[in-house]
Amino acid sequence: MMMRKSPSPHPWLKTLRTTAFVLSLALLTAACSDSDDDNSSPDNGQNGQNGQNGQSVPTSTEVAVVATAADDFTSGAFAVITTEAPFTAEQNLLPTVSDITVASYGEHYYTIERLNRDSIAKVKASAPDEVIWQYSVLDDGEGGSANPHAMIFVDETKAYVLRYGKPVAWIVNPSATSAAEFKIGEIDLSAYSTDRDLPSMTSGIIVDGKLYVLMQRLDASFTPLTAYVAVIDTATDTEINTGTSAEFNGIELPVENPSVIQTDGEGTLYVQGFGHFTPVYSGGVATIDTDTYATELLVDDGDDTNHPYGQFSGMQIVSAERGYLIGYNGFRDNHLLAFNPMTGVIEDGFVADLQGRNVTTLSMDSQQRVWVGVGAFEAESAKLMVLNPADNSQVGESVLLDFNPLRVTFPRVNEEQ
Amino acid sequence: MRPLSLSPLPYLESVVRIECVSAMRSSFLPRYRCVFLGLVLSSVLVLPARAEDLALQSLDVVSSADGVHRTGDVLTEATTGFSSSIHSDRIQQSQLSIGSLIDQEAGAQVRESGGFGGYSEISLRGAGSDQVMVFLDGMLLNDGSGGGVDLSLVDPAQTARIDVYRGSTPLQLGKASLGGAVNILTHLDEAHSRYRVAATAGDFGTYKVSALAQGARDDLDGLISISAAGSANDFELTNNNGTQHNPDDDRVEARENAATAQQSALLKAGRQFSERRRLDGTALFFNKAQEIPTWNNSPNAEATFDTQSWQVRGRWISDDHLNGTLDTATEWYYTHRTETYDDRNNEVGLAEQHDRYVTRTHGISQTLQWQAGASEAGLRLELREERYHRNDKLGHDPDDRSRRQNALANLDVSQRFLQGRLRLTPSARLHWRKSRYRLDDADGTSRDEDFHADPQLGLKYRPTAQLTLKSNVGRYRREPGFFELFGDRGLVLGNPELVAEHGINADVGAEWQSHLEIAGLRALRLQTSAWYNTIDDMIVRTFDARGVGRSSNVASARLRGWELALRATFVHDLVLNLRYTTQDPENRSPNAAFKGKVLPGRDQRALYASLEAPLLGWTLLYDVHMRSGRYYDTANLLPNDDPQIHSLRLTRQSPSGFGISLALNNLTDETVEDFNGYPKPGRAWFITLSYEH
Repeated sequence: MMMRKSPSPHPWLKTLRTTAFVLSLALLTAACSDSDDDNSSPDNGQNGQNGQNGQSVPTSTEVAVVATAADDFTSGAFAVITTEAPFTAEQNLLPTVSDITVASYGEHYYTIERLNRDSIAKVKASAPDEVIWQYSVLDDGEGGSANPHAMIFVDETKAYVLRYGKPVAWIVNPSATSAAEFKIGEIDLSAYSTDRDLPSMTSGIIVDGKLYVLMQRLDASFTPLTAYVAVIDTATDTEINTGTSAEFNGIELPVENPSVIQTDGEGTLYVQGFGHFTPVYSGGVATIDTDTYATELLVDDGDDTNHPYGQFSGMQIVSAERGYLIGYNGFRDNHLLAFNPMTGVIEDGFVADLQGRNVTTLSMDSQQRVWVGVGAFEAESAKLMVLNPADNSQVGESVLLDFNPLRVTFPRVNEEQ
Repeated sequence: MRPLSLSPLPYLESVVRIECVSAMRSSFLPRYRCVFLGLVLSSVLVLPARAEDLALQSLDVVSSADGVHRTGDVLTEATTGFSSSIHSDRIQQSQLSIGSLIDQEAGAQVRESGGFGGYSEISLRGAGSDQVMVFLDGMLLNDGSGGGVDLSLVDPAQTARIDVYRGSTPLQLGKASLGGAVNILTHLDEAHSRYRVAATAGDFGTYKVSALAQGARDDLDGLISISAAGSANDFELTNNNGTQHNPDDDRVEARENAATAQQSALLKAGRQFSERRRLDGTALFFNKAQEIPTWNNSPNAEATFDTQSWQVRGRWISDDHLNGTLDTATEWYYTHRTETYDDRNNEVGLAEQHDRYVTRTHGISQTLQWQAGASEAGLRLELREERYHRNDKLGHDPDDRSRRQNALANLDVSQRFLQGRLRLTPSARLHWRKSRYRLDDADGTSRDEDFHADPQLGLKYRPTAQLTLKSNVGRYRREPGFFELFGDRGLVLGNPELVAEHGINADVGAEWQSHLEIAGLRALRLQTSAWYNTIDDMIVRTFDARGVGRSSNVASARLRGWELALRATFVHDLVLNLRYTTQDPENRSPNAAFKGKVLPGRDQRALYASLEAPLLGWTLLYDVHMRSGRYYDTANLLPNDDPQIHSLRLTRQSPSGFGISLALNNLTDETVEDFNGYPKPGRAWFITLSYEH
């Protein structure tokens, strides 16, 4: 079908930049072709936004696609960055509102416009400013905002769209060629609704044919109630009764206000919870055994008097022995922590000297390197830092960004399988 | 606690849009320049012809309605700033919106949301709406809760004149800020009788009826004016379904849930005790019920925002003290405004919301005006208190209460030299303020206190009867609002460390007017000025990774520009008006993504031109309004359209007092969205019938 290119005040300049960027991607692809076979993606979920059934992704050159937002949230855009140092960035792609996120699968990335925009667009990573399709995730005549938060893929023709502003998730066909073909089903999670009539589904992951949907369950005054994970059989799209809760089919979590769910690839899911906004320290990191659905509080964020790391506002699981957390002490006063997901022990010190900064997001590429988003801070630009989790050292130079990074995902740019 | 700011106007929080760049922008400026060059050259060429034997008709305005000056009013003949006035004939013809009239002035820009009754805010010389002070009969409408004044809350039916002061603000208007001021003057009760009735009807179910009567008996005079208006605002728009890259799902449909209805009443009474003593009383009531459409134009939307305000004030004028050299005016006022935002179905914002906001303001002022020989001095003292109370009617959040006390003292001394042709006016503004904030279920009170003194200097030189040169320089401020200082509950945090934005305004320019007899030209009036303003410690709200927002003094800006207003009268009563503004409102924030960019929401170029001609007993007015270079966002990734709005008006006023006006607005049916997602109506017609006696 159609697609209009994104607007640009200087089309010739944009074309030139894009051409140069694509050329650099091509050169990089050629340079990396020998190592592609070893370049597997661990796919630990990334909030369900680049997950592929918890299995390794077929290898090829990948790029980092970043959803970014202006420091004052008046606009947002996307950036595409090569994943080999020196990292080359093409920025300000598909400019739009600031409340955005991004997901990816295969060679494509998917822009998700959230509150009051309610749309998803598919873009090929090698042509990063050309929209293949864009569809609304509101039904005709459906009021309010769907506020889509995540898109989790089964395969090229099936994915789940988690709609934070509605009690019903959508099942969609990412290969659809028309809006009519896009929505192929629904999953009703209204049973988990609070007095806001919403379960506040925010992220998810597919592991062993099951979709785990994280639900924050905020009430009308945005106080977090007991959070749950609904488990969906992706073959039948029906909810599984986990038998762990008297009230619901899903899994009751020991942390409140969760936002990230990831896997270590070894049968354990990790859930990061923030706790109350006020703050009340009811967050931390919880584990879910994917065989028994048993939960455990792995990392406690403390209490009113003792909370050495603050609240936790982000997490990245690298492996069963290595993970990272964003400790949140207040407005732009965050720090990056390393911890052991096996024991829950947080290492001493702050990673990459990131203390008292605006750490925004954590993601992992297929080389198991951690991409750390750092927002603008006083006169310093926003940036992405790439860390080697083996020793927390920084790989290459920081990638300077015009806007603050919100989410990073890693589609491939060349399908050579 | 709420995780996002839920302001009284949450539907305006999304001020960004995706928009293709119009190819028109690049060709816009050269056309302007050609027109201006020709007009300016022609004016220069004709200047020597009759310059010396023509009497001066001042461009200055006398700032009380209908040309009557009373102590405490602005007498712009005595000011050095650049100003313009919109008189009652234009206001009565417009009937529906004062914002669209102000938007036609040089250096002024008004952004409106939706159709009749929609939110409307002003920018002057590139300064933001919260950096422009708006007054109603000299009483400040801006309040401590921050943001700009919504011009849609001023009823044109009660308005006799609008004075726009760009940059420098007269002493009689108590408070000044970085952009300038607008003084909206209601009808003045005078010592003669008249009455006027008018009715307007038009597209989108729009109507308005108004009536005014005034009279005098002995030493008493009075005025009453009432009006009612409304609109379904069901104009057509193109809904892109939130998918700006997919035109296949666009649909043309009527605007949903945008109806508005309003009523207002103005009552004035005065008693002239003697030639030197007068007592005035005023009561003003305004009520507006407004539906709030959703971003995606949902037909199920039911959100509303209602406003009710009333104001009472009194003024005692006592002139000619100290052997006739001292005039005084004492004024007190009280205003009460209640706003109710109802989005219980959670259609507009992030959460269900039903809030009530009450703002009460009262104060007293004393103005002293002294004149002796070539010297004049003015002193204005004011004490003012504002109270703001927010109540969550759903009970989710505790009430919060803010209070701000202000003491202001303005002093200027004006000295005339060279037989009065040169006027030099140094002045100073002193402002003390103290703010307090309390959340009902929290311990303690947040406080903020500040004092500052700002100097200004103005110069006015009249080398000939036709030419006046002016220049002004001064320091101005914009104090942080309650939300910026103390937060808006939820995840918009307060920052009590905030200081006022401050900056230097400087301008220079000329006014020239003359009667002529050249090539069909009979008279020409020209006002042009250039300005250079800096703003430091700009208050900007930034957000962190969790979506928490907080304001801080992190930015600065430089506003440069040039404006021109020209009025040419030709034979056969042909009148050409032309107003042009070009400006560079540059963001000088340290943030690399913002540095050097155009401040959002500001035009870089604007042109208004109108041609008025008699036609078979009617008066035909054609006007065009063009603007360009505006962005929705701070990083300038989201350009606004560059609209060209053409309109036509036919009016006829019979000697018996009957009048008729036919208006056809936006002839080419352009879509204009000053606020992203909130388009204004396309082509529309209106008819107004009136009778005046």
